[in-house]
Amino acid sequence: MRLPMVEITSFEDVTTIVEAFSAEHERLFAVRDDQSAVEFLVWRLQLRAPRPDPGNDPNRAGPAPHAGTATGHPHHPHPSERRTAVFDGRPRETDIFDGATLRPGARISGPAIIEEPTTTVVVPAAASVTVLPSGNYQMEISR
Amino acid sequence: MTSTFDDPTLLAVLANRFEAIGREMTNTLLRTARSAVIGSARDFSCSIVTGDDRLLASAAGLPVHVFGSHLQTRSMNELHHDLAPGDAYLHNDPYMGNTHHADHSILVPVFVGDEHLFTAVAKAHQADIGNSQPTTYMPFARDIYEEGALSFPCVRIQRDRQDIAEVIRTARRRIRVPDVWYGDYLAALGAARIAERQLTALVKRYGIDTIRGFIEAWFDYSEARMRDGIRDRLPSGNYTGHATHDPIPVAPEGIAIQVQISVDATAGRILIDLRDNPDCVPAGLNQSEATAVNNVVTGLFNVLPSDIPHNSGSFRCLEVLLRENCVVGIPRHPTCCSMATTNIADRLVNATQAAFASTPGVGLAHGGAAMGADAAVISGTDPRHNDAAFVNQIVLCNNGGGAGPDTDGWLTLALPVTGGLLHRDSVEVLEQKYPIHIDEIRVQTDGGGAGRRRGAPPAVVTYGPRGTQLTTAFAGDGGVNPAQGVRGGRPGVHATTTLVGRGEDLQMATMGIEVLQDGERLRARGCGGGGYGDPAEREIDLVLDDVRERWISIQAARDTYRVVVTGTADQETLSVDQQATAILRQHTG
Repeated sequence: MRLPMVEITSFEDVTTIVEAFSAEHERLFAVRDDQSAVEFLVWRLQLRAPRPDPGNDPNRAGPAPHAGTATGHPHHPHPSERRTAVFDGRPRETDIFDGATLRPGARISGPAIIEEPTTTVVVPAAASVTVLPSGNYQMEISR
Repeated sequence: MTSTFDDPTLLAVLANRFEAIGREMTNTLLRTARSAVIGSARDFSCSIVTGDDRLLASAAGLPVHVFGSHLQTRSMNELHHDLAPGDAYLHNDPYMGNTHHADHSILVPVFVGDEHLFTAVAKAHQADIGNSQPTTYMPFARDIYEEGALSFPCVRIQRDRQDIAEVIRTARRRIRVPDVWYGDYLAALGAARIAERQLTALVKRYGIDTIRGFIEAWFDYSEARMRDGIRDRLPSGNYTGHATHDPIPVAPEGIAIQVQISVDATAGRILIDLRDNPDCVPAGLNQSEATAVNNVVTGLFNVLPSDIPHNSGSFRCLEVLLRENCVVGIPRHPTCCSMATTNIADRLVNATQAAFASTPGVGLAHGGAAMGADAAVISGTDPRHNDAAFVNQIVLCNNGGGAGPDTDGWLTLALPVTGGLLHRDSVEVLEQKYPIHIDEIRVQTDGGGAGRRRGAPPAVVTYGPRGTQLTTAFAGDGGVNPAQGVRGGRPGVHATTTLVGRGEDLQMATMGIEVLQDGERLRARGCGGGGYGDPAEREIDLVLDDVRERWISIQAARDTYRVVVTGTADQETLSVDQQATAILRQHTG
């Protein structure tokens, strides 16, 4: 349930937030219970703030080559390792990149594999990937 | 009635919209209920009935709840000639269309202008209903006076959207956990009011004439689907199903029921006769009119295609004959129907679905039907919360589903009357809400009835109080009469109840009230579902899979399924001795 931000410093503030809870309960579930105590078991806070410069994103490890610029300068990152992977039906030595270390402006030519914590991006031989300022990958297929 | 509604797309859109409103009702009840039996186990159902008492949408409610809400709205219309917008009615009367006293139904008439177009019905099994004992199930009560439940024979509980204070006061005085009851009442009321809000918006959007046209067209479509389903699945002829409830003191031989069915496949009509059955018993096991019909309808729907709408349109193809004062008929006041939604109810579902198995490839074996100590109503005081009183039914039980002609039984059936729709309690939530500890819930190897298609096994559940004493009340069936197999399929295991921790393990009856001291435990096992077909005809690979996954033991594979399995699971060396199996199967029968 979404409640307004109330700084609780007085009994009236408690009344305000309980009333807001009951009103929202009635909007969602068509009933309210003013006789019962309201117990808050879980609080979730939603915070909005301007997005940090992805070129300076502290969550992306490693030194930023162009700290402070949003676009990043074009560069070819070093693979974190090389492994054998099968492309087009034949095994070949393949560059493996750790996605968390890639910075805006990074360009990767296929064949390559980018490993993310929750997914794996396969870059086919005829494709290349650019890391955008937003952190997204843009894949171009050149054939 | 011939309908003039000629837009099939809009028909589908509106049919889904009604079901979606039903799901919004369901969500409201789930999210706002206070007792675990409603909020966790979802022992409730929501439905939408037309103003002239035809069931329109049932929103995947529990099968045992759905049929009958239109009987309840009929009683509302007959009893209250001053229905008005803003009204709500509390109805738990088993003589006027309700299932049993424990199910409190909230009925909200929905008006469009001056016209009463729908009634929204939210029915929920309460934590407590003021019975003479701290349980909502009274198997041994001779009549409703011994049962002790508060009766609300379609009583107005709101006018102008305000509670009628004396009705609330009456309930709060006699119900053991008044705040839980009031919260659960609000949850059901909210569900019905949500439906009122959405139905009003729906009529406003599409116009009343379109909605009227839709209703008739939807009933006609449902009827046509039902006729087709009967014609495609069930050969014409007479079928008889049997099932027997375990002995109880007033019926020492048990209660044997039979379901006589006559199918006219050409016309797409079915007649079910329940009149040739015993009289009502002076106990709580009698069916109410709603459940008697409901449970044979459930057994029938179980053998028909699953996407036939369950409403008054499909019901047109069906006639159920009942007689007064029959244990599976119409009870007379003050006959007790405390257990009308389980026990004999489960047996009725089983007898009906198994009756059709006289035809090869049709019907279903019996499902396990033991709502025992693993689904007890527990009560006591909670030392963690200043000894606050609690009472609530726990839903940890599992009975295995009966096998069908093509598929093994459904593991999490819970009970035939719930058809797998009941949710299981969360162990952690239950232990947080009540001072109990659940030691184990596990599936019983060899628990399902053997067959070419195997019945599902039951669960074994062990639990007890934590730091206090605990009253447990349970009224299970299936300790004597297991779920039967069909067409050569074997019965599942029967139910057991064991008291652990008071000296030697004690085998107990599946019905009773037991006060557990701290450290004592109840261990309850449900019933396995029956098998379908001869187990010696089960595919050898499936038998090996069953052994590998411990549904069955190596011994059962050999003795019952006639498949010789060698090796061990631990060493991953299980395999079939093909030669020995061939010899064994050759000499079968």
